[in-house]
Amino acid sequence: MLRRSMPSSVLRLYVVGGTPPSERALHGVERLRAELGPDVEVEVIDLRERPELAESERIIATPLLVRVSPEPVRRVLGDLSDVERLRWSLGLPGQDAT
Amino acid sequence: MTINDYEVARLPSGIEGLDTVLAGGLPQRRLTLVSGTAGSGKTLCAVQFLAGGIADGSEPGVFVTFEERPAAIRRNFRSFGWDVGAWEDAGLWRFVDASPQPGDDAVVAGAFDLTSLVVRVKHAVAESGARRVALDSTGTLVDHFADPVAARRALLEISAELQEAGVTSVMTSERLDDYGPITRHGFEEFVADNVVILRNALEGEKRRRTVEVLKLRGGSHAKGEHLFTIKSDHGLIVVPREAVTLDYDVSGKRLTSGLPELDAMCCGGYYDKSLVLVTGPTGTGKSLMATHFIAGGVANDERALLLSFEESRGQLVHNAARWGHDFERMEAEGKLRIVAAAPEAAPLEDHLLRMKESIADFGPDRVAIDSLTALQRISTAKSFREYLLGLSFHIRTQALIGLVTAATDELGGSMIGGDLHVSTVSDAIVVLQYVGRGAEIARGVVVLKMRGSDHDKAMREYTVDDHGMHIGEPLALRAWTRLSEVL
Repeated sequence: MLRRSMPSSVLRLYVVGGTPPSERALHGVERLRAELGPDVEVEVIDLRERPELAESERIIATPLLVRVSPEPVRRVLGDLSDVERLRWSLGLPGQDAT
Repeated sequence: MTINDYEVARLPSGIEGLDTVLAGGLPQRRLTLVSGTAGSGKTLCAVQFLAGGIADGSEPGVFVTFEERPAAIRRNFRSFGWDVGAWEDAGLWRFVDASPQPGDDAVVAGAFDLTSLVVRVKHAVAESGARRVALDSTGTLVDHFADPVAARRALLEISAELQEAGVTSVMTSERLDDYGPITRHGFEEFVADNVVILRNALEGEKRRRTVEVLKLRGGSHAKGEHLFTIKSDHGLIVVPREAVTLDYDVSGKRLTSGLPELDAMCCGGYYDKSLVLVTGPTGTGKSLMATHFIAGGVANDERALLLSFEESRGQLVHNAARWGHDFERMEAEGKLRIVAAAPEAAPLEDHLLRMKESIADFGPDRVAIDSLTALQRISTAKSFREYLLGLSFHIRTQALIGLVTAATDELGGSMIGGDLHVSTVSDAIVVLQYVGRGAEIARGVVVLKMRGSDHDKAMREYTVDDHGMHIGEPLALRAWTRLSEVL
């Protein structure tokens, strides 16, 4: 499937499937996707299936969301329930003031 | 069924002497906590545990590091003769690097857990086929996050996974005080089945390293603190203080003291595999007694080792020649070895190790140490006591006879130095003493104790001339008084 335009943000979410914080983070990322549409691309990696990536990336805590682009790389640890903090740290557009 | 059937199976720890304290080794398939203050040797202990498995039977190991970087560990332990990098290449060693990385401080937005760390440890163990796992050290992991709960839960999960994988593990943690709470965070001891404490306590002005097994679930162990030292090509070496187990053979064989009259006073000589103490004030002839002991052994075709902490080699040879004994010739014939060392040159544990090395290397039948007083001067009361226990145990288990000399402070004073615990660990005690007889001062020798045998209870007068010591008749009881009573 071809995209019409390049996404402005590429995010990678590392989770360990089946753990409550990781499950909540997956929902949080779905919300982001729905909201931001093609502007954001999210890759989800389950470290239980790819333990060698946990090792090479030296990940000890999850869920971990990494903004791969634009540079600089930013990392957010946690279930993404703190939406304001998430937006601020990833430099994502905030919700319109209501 | 013996009591051993209930004991948990053991695995060699890789640390010399520690397995004796652990009554066989680390409990297999269990997690042992090693807790100690900063600089007590925790990381070394963890590394040595894995190195032991690799050297022993090529058991692969996983090292989970929360603190030091793998590169630092590869570098720092090369001086111990451990090439971690080569072991990694050979698939015998695997790191799980959970050390803090610069720039990986993530913003925290909500709840998290450390399951990925658990996943990594499990993966590393499964892939490498590890039999041993070391985790070093927990405090850094806990400090890494503002909330310690996630780290605690992860350590519990890891311990459960390791048990399930059937590996034997060592986890280190730090404590603030050598005699305080077991760990700084106070929970690691509940994760582990067994607890070992490393201490590096300052006593007087000296450092004293000891290891103590605090808890060993499902098994026995030697209680109390045991001295250890760190040697560059060995790592940790524990000197087990298990002279108290007394499971050596008591020998009935008699060996000469080097003086026929003294042999007669002991009803046939000193026992083999025993420790003899010669004590007395300065100038009574303790070193001379040691010289006779050495010469007597050599004359009976024994090999003798003389450890001197008081006089130089040259001085010893000179003194012996004055009394008619040619130490240089005995050395040339390979019957004698003289090792002279300044007591201050090394800590007490090292002196004990050097003695063991000399014994292993030379293979003597008898050993004389002149004098303990010099060694006592450089040590604390506690470590001196442990040195003595280690010494007497080694002499007995190596089937040697040992003679040690010690000075008493007052000229005519107490028969045995008040704080010299050597009297309790020695099997025979020979006391040399100045006695007053009217206006004259004479010297007397008495056998104060002779374990397992009768002995002459009389104090006999002795003289010293160019041929050494000559023991004569008993001093008549009323004719002599202790010098202190005369002065």
